[in-house]
Amino acid sequence: MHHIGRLAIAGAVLGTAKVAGAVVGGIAAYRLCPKIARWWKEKRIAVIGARTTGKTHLATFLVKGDVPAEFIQDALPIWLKRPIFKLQDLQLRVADILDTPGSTNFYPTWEHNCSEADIILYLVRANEVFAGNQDTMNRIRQDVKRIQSWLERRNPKPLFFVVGTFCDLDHRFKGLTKENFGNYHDEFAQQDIIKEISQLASRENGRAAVILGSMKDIIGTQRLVGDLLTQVTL
Amino acid sequence: MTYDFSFWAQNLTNTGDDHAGRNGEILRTPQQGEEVAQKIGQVTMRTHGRKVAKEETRATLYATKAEAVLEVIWAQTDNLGRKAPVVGYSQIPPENHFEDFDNWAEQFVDSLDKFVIEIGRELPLTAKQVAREALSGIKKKQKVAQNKLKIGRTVGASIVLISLLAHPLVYLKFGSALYMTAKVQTLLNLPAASLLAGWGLYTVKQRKK
Repeated sequence: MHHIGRLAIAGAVLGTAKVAGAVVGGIAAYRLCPKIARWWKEKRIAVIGARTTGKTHLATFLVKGDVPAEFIQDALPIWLKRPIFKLQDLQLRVADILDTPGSTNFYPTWEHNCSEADIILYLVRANEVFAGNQDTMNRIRQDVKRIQSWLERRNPKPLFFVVGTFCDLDHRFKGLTKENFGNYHDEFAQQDIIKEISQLASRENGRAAVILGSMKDIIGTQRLVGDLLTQVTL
Repeated sequence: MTYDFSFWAQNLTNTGDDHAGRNGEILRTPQQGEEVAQKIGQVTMRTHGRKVAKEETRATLYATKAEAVLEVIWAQTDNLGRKAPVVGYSQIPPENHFEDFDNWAEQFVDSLDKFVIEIGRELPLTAKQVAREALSGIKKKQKVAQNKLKIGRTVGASIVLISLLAHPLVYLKFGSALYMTAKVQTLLNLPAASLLAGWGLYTVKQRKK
């Protein structure tokens, strides 16, 4: 099963740019594919990223199918054991989700989570990447350096997803259609800093899968999570 | 006995360094911040939190047998309107220093208060109350564990005693022919053997913790 998953994700990674146009409409696709459930089942997932990138929002949505009731800074790592991914009528049981505070002080916890996870979701604020925010770039480079040193020791490497969030704060995002989302996605994936993160993906995968969207509301979050789940079927 | 009281809080502006402190001193280097965060992470990743809440103020306690982490959340928010918790770490007084507990809990809350002031915030009275209440959970847990241990020891000792007494009683009452049968021997030795096996498993489990 794991082997099938690896092949599927490899295909997903190689084909990410080509199928980016289909990403907006990804939600409908995941329902049809039993491969997804098989692939995600019993996987350990680590959610990492800098402060205010939406880690807890994503982890909560994966488990509850809803956005958090209140917004709290992450001051503690959260370990969700045997949660069930809930996305509309889809339910997938995974082994656990490790949600880590974004502060660099928590690098030891990141290291622990990265060394245990089958799948790493690295969140970045896409709006700040597009805007070329220097603080964001420096922070990502600092993260990449650390993650790289932790992943070097791992064999096989975990699967690595770059999740670009807060697209709603990029003025171009609102006007996007299903047809031109692909170009937008490609533009993000081609940013130098995103390419640098992609180097963290395992060698056989070539580069990391890049997912892009907004978690401003439930529909946006559903779409982003749908895109994440469907990466394995592409 | 002296304890390590360490604290951590995220920056309210979500930029720049976060705050870490230990035993009344603010820690400035990233390595020191990592040390505090690592201790906090190691406890919370191993345990489930127990919440004590009063309106919008709440404290969550994560405790192993030897260490405790306390997260306190009150009305304080960051620049994005998110609640801004402060987290504290300390070792727990060992069972043989049980009388230290109240003093330790008071020191924990006082140190937390001082840290919060040092980083330019204010811990309201309600937050201190819920923090104390959450910490008292450890005392209750320790008492329950001690009582369980006492009951377990008494029951165990009784079983061993009864099974030892049963041997001569059976021998005297039913004679050596019945006493020597394998079934009766097993029946008489089973309670003590089960008890020993249970004790062994319990010891291994405690060591793993």
